[in-house]
Amino acid sequence: MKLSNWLDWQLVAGCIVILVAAGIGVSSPSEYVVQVITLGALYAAVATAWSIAGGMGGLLLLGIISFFGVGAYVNGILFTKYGISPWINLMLGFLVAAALGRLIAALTLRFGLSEDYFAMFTVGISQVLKHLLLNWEYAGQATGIYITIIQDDFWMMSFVSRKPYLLIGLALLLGIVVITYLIQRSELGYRLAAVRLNNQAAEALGIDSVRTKTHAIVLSAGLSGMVGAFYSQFSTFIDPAQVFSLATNFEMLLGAVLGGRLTIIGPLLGSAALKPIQDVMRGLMGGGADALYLVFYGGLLVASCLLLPKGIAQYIQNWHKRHYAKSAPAEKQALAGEIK
Amino acid sequence: MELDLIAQILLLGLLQGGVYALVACGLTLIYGVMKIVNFAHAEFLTLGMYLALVAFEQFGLNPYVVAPVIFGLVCVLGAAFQHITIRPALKHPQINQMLITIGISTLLVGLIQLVWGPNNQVVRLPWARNTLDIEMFGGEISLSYARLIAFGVAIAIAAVAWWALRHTRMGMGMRAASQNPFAAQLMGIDVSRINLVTFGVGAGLAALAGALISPAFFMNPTFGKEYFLLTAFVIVVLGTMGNFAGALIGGLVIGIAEAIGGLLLGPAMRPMVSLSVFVIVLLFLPRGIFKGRLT
Amino acid sequence: MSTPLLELREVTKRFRGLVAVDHVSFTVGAGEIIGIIGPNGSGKTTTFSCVSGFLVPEEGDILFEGTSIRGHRPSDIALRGVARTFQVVQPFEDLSVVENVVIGALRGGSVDLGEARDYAREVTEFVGLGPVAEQLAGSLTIPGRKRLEIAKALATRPKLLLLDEVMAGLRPSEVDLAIGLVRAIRDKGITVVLVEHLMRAVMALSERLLVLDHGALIAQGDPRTVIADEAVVEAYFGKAHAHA
Repeated sequence: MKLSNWLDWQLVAGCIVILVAAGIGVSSPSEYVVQVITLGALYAAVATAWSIAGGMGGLLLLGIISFFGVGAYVNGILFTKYGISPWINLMLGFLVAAALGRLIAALTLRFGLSEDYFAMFTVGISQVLKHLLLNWEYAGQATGIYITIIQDDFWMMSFVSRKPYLLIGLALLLGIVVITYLIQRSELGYRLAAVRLNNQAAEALGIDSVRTKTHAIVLSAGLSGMVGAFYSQFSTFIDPAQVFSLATNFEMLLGAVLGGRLTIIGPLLGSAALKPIQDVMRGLMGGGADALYLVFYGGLLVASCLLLPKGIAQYIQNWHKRHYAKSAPAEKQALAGEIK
Repeated sequence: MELDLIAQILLLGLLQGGVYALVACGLTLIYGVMKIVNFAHAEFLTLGMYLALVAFEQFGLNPYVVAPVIFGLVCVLGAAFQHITIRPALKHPQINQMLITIGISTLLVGLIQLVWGPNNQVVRLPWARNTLDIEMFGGEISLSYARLIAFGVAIAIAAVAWWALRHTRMGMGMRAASQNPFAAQLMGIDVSRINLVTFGVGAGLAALAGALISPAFFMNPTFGKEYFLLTAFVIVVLGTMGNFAGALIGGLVIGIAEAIGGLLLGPAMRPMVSLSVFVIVLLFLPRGIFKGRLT
Repeated sequence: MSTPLLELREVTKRFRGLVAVDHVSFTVGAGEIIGIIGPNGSGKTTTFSCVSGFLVPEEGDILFEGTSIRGHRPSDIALRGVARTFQVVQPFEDLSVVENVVIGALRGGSVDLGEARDYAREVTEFVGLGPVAEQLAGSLTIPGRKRLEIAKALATRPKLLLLDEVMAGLRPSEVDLAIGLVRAIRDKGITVVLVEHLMRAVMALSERLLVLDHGALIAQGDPRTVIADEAVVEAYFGKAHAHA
């Protein structure tokens, strides 16, 4: 691990940000601060998971909330109806959401089919899932699912205090950041870059673009499902309108776009910046803040696409390049470190 | 089931389909010319509904009278959005363009909510709720005037737009740009002006549809997104993305299909019809039922 | 008789009404260098696209090592050992030169990344891009881009290499270097089929020459005999003169 390598540097920086967040959360007496940091970590985790397909793979997987929502319901149902431990449900949430991702990929990624279909389909499916759950009596319909926590039980991920959830949420985020780091360094990272930059050339070189894109979708979907499963345990209440909300969906994507969807640290930084802003606005304005926040983040999404198409992380990367070119000019960067 | 009830439901589906067709026309027009999936399309419809509400409550104007003004206003607004946000991004990756339209969508929902609040509202046009009753199949079929007018006007406007595409300079320019923007540019067609007008007209058509349905539906800031976005996507995919006639026919087909689906599976399952059509099209008709663009 | 490396049987590809490739049949034996010439629009690149799987012919069959590859995905055909270059070069612009080559060397992910990097470096040196290996591919000059196109294809360890106008736009001295490179590739045991407009390169390299006109194969055989053929002169050189 060398700090002169952009990938390694990002991983170290990401770990530091997460540790600082953990430090602030654990030492804070305010339950509200703990809540905000945990939610911020979850948004960042989904944004980072999304960046595997939406960033590295260049895929228009715009409806990431489907997988998050499915994961949330996996834990909601299995925990309340069957008493299955949320720790296991994290894995099951991953598997069910990944299976949904696999199905969507199989339907949409056939050779020669336009990317536009894919984008519309992934957004559409989230709304269909919402309607399905609104009508599914077993899953509580519009009332949703309440999770009751009476006493501390580590094995059942049940804690009276909010702080353990904060740590689990940050650990999930850290895990997903490490996974994206490993992907960028791996053969899959090269395949994704090839498919993103020139699909035709990638195919000509023996890279099965459908298979590669499927891998990215399954990973993004599964990890988002895992975060969703944790979210239901953390929030103790889920309903279809909330966990399949398009507003939340695009807010998560905004974090990734604003931060830089082609980097490891971008989605983390973008989300980390957004969540507190939302809460400050809510603190200042109360109920009317929701609408204003929509205006704010819609405008920010447009502005960041136009003015910062590569996100904030682009500037950090440029700084990193200049800084280490000065201090270690002779040193060559590791190959994967140059993947953009 | 009674025959008259079936006829009632099918007719209601057809009426709804006419409105769908008008909404989908705008979406497919924008896609055909600019190759952009406009995620903000449904918000222009919502905006049209609220503008009709303002005209009605502040000035006592009937939505049908004020609809052309709403069309014009939202045309200008859509063109302005296109000019400021989408035109500079046309050379960016597709994902940026889509995210920009998503940003516009979010922005509009927020603005609508700021101005008019989050609660359900409706244009209380007394006579629009009255129904036209027809004796048929040994029973009585009732269709509200609001829906009948919305259908009639929607179909008429769509037909006019279809005619304009084939017989006006601007329409032919749009068709040329949809075939090959580069060649169109070489032939002296001002493609950036075409894009401006296309986006404006597309947004205007959605708003017009919104004004037409404002006496028939309760509106709230996310109404368009909830009830029209997915359906409009399915229609343009079914009718071949970018194909104008396809969107018209697709709209009617989906309207009736939803009615039949609601009849068989219960009204709560109506959104499943759209999804099923989407999946079937993806599997068996990946290019939709029509060929070519804006024909 | 042994199975030819590549065999086209009555391959036909139509675009709407236009017949781009019209019942073309030929074989390529292992170790050959074959040239394909013909006027613009005669179906040369379309033939390559059919062989490499980017287009699927409506009629006829394409066999590689005796197995039909018609309708297979391009990536599958590439992994079987058919590599191609593109007339309009297709670099991964945001990656460095050697990273571009790594993507080929991964063979779709079946090769370990460390091994692929080593091999990519070797291939990059082999085509003469060693000194610019760390530059971004987007910053290369035209001759560099053409070489990169060859390097990416070579890195997939092909048995058959389809070169589509890799000499176009090169200066005479660069053409000589490119001719040497193609010979060196053949000497590694790789069969080469090249589509080329530049007659000097075609005549210097080809052991056998195929001539396409309006999608049909109008002549094939020894290069010197073929270019003397009356039909070829009329179809190819006649039109070339008319253009000039």
